[in-house]
Amino acid sequence: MIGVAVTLLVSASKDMSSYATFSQAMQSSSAVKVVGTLSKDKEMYYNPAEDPNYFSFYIQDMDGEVKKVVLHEAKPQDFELSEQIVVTGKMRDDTFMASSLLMKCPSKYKDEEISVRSDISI
Amino acid sequence: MGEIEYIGEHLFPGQIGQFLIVLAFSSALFSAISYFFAVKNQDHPLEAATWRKMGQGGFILLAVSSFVIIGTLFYIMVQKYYEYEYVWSHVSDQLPFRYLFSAFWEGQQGSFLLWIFWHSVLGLILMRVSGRWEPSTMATLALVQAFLFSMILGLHITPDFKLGATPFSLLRESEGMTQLPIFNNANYLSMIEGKGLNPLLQNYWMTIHPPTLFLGFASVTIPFCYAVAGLWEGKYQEWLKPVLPWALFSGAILGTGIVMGGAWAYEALSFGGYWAWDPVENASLVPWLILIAGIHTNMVAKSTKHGIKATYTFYALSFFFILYSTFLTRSGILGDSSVHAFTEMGLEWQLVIFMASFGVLSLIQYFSKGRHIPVPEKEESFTSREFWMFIGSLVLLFSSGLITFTTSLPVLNKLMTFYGDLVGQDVSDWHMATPEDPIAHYNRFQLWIAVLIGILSGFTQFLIYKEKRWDQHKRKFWRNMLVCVSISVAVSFLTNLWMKAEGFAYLLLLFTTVFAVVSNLMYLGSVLKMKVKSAASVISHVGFGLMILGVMSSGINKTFISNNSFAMRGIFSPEDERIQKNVYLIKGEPLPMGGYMATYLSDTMIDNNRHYRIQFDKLDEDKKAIVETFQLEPYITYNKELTEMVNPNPSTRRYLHKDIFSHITAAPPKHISVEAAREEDDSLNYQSYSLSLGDTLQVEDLFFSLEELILQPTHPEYKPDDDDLAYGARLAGWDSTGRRYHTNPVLAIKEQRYIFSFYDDIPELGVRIRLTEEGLNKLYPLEQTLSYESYHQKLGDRFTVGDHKVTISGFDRNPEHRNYQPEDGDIAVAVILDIVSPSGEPFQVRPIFLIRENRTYMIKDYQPTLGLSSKFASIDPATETLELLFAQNDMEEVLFPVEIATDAPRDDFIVLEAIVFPGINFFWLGCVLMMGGMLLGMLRRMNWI
Repeated sequence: MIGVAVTLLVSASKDMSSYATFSQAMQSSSAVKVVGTLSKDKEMYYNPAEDPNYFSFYIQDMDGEVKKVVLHEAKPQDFELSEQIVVTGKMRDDTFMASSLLMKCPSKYKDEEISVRSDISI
Repeated sequence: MGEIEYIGEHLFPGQIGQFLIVLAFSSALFSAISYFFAVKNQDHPLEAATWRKMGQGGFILLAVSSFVIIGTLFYIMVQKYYEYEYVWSHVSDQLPFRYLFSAFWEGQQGSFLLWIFWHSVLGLILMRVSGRWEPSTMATLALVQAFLFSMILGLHITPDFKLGATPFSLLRESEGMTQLPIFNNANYLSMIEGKGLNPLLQNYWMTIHPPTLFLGFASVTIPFCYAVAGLWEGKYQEWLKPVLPWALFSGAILGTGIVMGGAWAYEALSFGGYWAWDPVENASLVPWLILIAGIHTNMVAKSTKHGIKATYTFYALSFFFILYSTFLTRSGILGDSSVHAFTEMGLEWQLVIFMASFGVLSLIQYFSKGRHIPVPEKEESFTSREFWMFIGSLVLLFSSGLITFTTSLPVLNKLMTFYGDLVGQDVSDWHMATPEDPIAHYNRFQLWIAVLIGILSGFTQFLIYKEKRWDQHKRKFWRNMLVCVSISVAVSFLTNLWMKAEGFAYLLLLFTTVFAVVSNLMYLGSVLKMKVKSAASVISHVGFGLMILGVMSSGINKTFISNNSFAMRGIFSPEDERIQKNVYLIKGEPLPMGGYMATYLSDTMIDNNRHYRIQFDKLDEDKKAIVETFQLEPYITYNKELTEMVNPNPSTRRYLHKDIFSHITAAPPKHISVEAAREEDDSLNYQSYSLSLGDTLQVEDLFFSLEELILQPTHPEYKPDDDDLAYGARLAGWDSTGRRYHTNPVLAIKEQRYIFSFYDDIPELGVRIRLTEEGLNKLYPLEQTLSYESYHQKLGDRFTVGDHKVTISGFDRNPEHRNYQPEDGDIAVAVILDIVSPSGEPFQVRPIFLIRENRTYMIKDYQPTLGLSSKFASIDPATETLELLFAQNDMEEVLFPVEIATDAPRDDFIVLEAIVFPGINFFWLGCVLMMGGMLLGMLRRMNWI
């Protein structure tokens, strides 16, 4: 019984990935996870009229390297606000082809401001 | 700086509430201690009875206090006393009453109170019904209550260390707020408004899901209390019977709470599923799985005395994992790996101590008492029911172990960092990230768990407890199995004609699932002789089978129908990242997708939601005739100021055998936020032009004409108010094809100072047109550009002004006019002039003559359609002659300014994702049966039925 449990746990932990950089992704033939931040000065492209399943943007990985990322989905809501982005996928030529994307956003409801009633001017 | 005397604060309810929290916390401790001594002094009945009375008193006091605390908090929320931080954080002026409950338990303190509430209710019942078990079970429950109250105590132990966070803290004293300048104003309360309930949570699920789940959480405590009581008193077997109804109740309610969470996610959120293996979902699933394992060993132990230790362990573990899940969701440790963790409140250490205390207490008890637990001399026989039920429980434990391991990765990483800090080593290399695809990861392992459970729950029914005559039974058993397996193979085969599962693992799962259903139904027929009252376990296990069947059919065959099938068929495999999930729909243009013609019909604002109506026409095989038509209405929710979208919400078409699920994945900027709309509009290249009514204007290769000026304009975004100054224009636009499109831009000035320009598009031509403020001056001409002519007439006279026929019809001594605000002492008279235009249209104007403080004024009336200004200059009392002034401006000649951009992107589109989930109703039906079976079992064991 314990043996089975250990085996299951060990094989489960093989699923755990660690974060890679773009240069590591370049060498890997399987899917990797790259963590980075959105390069806000570079182009973010989503034109649903042309293709509703094509969204491209640039992220800077932990080593500071900036690469283009292509995601074949609609542009996620509040993408510009993301603090950190994790993309899963493979490098193809010089572009990272992402199969999924996770982003960490600051909560919209945490900001410590006091909203003043709109009918009052101070 | 001196103390400020704040105006309008209501501090009294808070003081009452705070006092009661301290009182309740003390009563809980008092009750726990009293009950403890009631157990200790069992040999002295008189003393024990006194201690017991004190314990009861303490618990009743804490229960009543908790009800009053909840009532008080609810009261200040209803009253919208924003001086309290909790009220300010969760309530707003516009929040409808029906969401006040949701707002109540949106925050940490409210949800702790909800939990406490259920403990109080269950405790009062337990006190009444537990009989001789009262002192030993209630002692634990009161102690748990004391820990929970400590979470909302809000007492400063040292200046830096606070025990708990109270729901009655004041906004101006809360962290990060004290320095804000607004609190220097004694009258700050009249200026602030609450933040309100997160719009995501404004639905009825938020009203029913948390109370159910917390009742589930609270109910898990009771089996734990019994387990502790049994060992404590050394009555190792006696507790196994009274605990069982409580455990079954808990299993049913907690299970229902979890499934409700799934139903919420599926129905109201855009996850595209009912279960995402989110850490918070897992955190409540794990205690449930362990509890179910406990219920099984409990039944075994009650019948055979085998597995008492296991039952104790499972009940203690399920309670421990409730605390652990509380820690995970409330400490903020999950941070980036969960969508619905609470915000941090500095309660981490308190939660750790809570967990550790009960963990250590249980371990101590287990090791000091465990060896006294009687173990039957004979091992369970391989062919007995208890042996296989025990195996089943272990499988459930494995399942929870695997889930816990992955869910706890953030905790493990934190522990490693803690260890690294301790030994001064950087251990960040050891950190593990959560799996790339968590859903696939969990499913891969839980699939085998489901296979095992399916097999076990099928054949174990036919075994009996304490099997001694297997030789006599085995023929019958194997015969039953042969029948079950044969039927299951046939049914699986038939099911798979529809489900089309492929691969060994899925086929095996399908078979074992069907086997579970078939063999339980057979057991009901052949052994129980269709006595439904005794069929609790059959119902639950059939429910399990159907649930897995629903998971399989909706999961394996989930298909995105939102793709343009002509272009895509056969090019990509289902796993390919380039698979098309979204379609681009233009308003009014049908698009073929996944066997349907989809047409985006309209968008409408209802409260703070924008509803998109999309029509689906199902085509027959030849794609000629329409066989079915329905509409879906996914919508997006805005924040309370309506400036920004918060989230998209799905809309689902339900059939018995499948669901069609749809939601909006992208919308034009003007539907996303005010800022995005402005950004887009700013990027356009507007050019100014002037044209008069009927003129044609050429811009590049496009033509425009001004067809009409509208004085009471309408526009989808414009909400008219009484004192608005507004106009609209109707313009036609066309290109070389000659097809004319119409557009209706509007401009409005509100409160005489705010200018709003509501543009309008001709998406087909890529054109956006807006009006300017200058146009308003053309429509309402400036005084200095007009030359007035004077007319002297009497009441009833008819005369002509230019081409217009004018009649003086009467006077109005209480005149109303946009530019006239009556004051005391005014003498104001309006003259009523009926005017007929050259084309025969009737109009009426009412210029005012006003005497205020010995000075006379004329308030002019302007008729924009006629371009006629009229004034009432004076009245001669002797001759009753009026002096009227008229000025005419020619609307036909006036050049109106418009601004036209010819590079406007379309904004009459949506991007839609639509998914078909076949057989999802098996899932819901299975869940209902599973929980219903447990409730039936509970009632049965209480001898209620």
